[in-house]
Amino acid sequence: MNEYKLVFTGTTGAGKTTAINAVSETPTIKTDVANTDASLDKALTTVGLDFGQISLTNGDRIRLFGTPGQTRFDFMWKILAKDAFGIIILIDNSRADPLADMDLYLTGFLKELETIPCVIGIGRSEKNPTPGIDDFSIRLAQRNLILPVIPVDVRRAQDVILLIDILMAQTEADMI
Amino acid sequence: MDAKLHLGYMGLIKPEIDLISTILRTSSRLDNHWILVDDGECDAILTYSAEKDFSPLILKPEAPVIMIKRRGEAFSGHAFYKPFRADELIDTLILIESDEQPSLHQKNEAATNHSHTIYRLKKWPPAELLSLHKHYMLLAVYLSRGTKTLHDLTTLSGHSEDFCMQFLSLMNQYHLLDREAGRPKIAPVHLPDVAMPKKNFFSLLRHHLGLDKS
Amino acid sequence: MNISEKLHNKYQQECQQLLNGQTGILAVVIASADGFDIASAVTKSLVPARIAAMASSISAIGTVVSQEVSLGNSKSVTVNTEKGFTYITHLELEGKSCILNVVADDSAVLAQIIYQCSEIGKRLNNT
Repeated sequence: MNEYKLVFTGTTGAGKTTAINAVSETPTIKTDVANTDASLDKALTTVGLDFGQISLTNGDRIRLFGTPGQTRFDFMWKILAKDAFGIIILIDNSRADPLADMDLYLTGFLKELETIPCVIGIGRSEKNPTPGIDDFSIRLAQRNLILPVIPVDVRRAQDVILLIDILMAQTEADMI
Repeated sequence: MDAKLHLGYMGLIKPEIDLISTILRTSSRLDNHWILVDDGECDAILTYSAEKDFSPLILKPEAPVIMIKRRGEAFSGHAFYKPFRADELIDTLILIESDEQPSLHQKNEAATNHSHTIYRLKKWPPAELLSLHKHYMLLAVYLSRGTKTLHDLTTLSGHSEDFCMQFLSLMNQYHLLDREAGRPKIAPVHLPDVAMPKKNFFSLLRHHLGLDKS
Repeated sequence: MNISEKLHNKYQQECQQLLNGQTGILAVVIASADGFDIASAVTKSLVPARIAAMASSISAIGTVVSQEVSLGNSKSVTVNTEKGFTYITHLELEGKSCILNVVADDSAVLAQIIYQCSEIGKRLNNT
């Protein structure tokens, strides 16, 4: 029986817990506490991790981890990303500077991104079309990163599944 | 040849117009002999429907109609099949051009051996390009992971060389591709033994998630 | 978390008194449940903001574990290390859930730290 790990990260409110809920076979375990940061329009915030799970027919398990979004918890990012088979960065395009948000996580996971596949999911892009997907691609290329960027609505399981499928395709490409 | 040939079009959507425009502009084989027009005289016309009236386009006498058809549809005349393959349009236009001026145009078949060329994406492609075919995103994903040959892409995707080459041509036309000559691989690509458990895992996970990798 | 200067001074005083009054303590940090440092007294190059965030994470994970095994609410978490320990306990300040974190080397006595933290909790709850 093998254990695999998948990490969802991104800004607070980008949909990490929702994304895990969309595919986890168990209710997501959360470490939410009361938010005291007035700059965040949220009652609760994740301070430890979110946890979900997928079990396969052969007994293999995939543990789904959601990281806290704020940078003061970046020690958790590294702990959770260790030995992950993929990292999904979720961006909320309704925020003031989504490109800067993406930069934050690219920097925070810089070491991990040298080897671990990663896909960027842009949420709320229908109502907030700028920056566009190509703007994210250009920013990534400026950082010498070629990562898939796709618009998603993580309330839809199919979109979350697509993100995971992309990570698998990246891993398969790395095997050659 | 001093005057350009005009390829008229009818009923195409913008991404298709952009794609064809780029093919005409960047193909070394066509050598800028053709331009895309939507009115006036044309030397050939690209269209979805067999209209008799192509106005505001004016077909020159004997100018052929290139029908856009779905791949697999039988058609005896000039056709451009969807999903589009750039080299098919190029071949058709060269044929039309040589019918018109057989002594002036020579096919410039480069002795390029595509199979050893190494490709790498310069940046993630725009959504309008990836939306031209449902499998383009997957090819872009493979190509985003370091350098790949045409053979690598066909091995990973299960698609034909022609299909993968069509994708690579499109990426190249939009200046999204780095290419360099590579050395032929001495042995066929084999998946390392350590990768097999992971492939089995992915197969089971895809099945669990309801993904059909066809 | 907004607190008055008077309260902040009081919390600060408690942290400093604990640091000075017990052998081996390296840092005392009072943090909000979401990991912001409210008051602290530290030695060496320890950073209160980092300690606050980490204590918050550990405390939250402790809460999840205790709920998972149906043993009631988590009251504290102790991380024993080769050269000391860190003790993280819940604290209620002005009706809000907070965390008191003590980092100590191996010259400190855990039982005394636990007792002192409990006394701090009583004093601050009575203000």
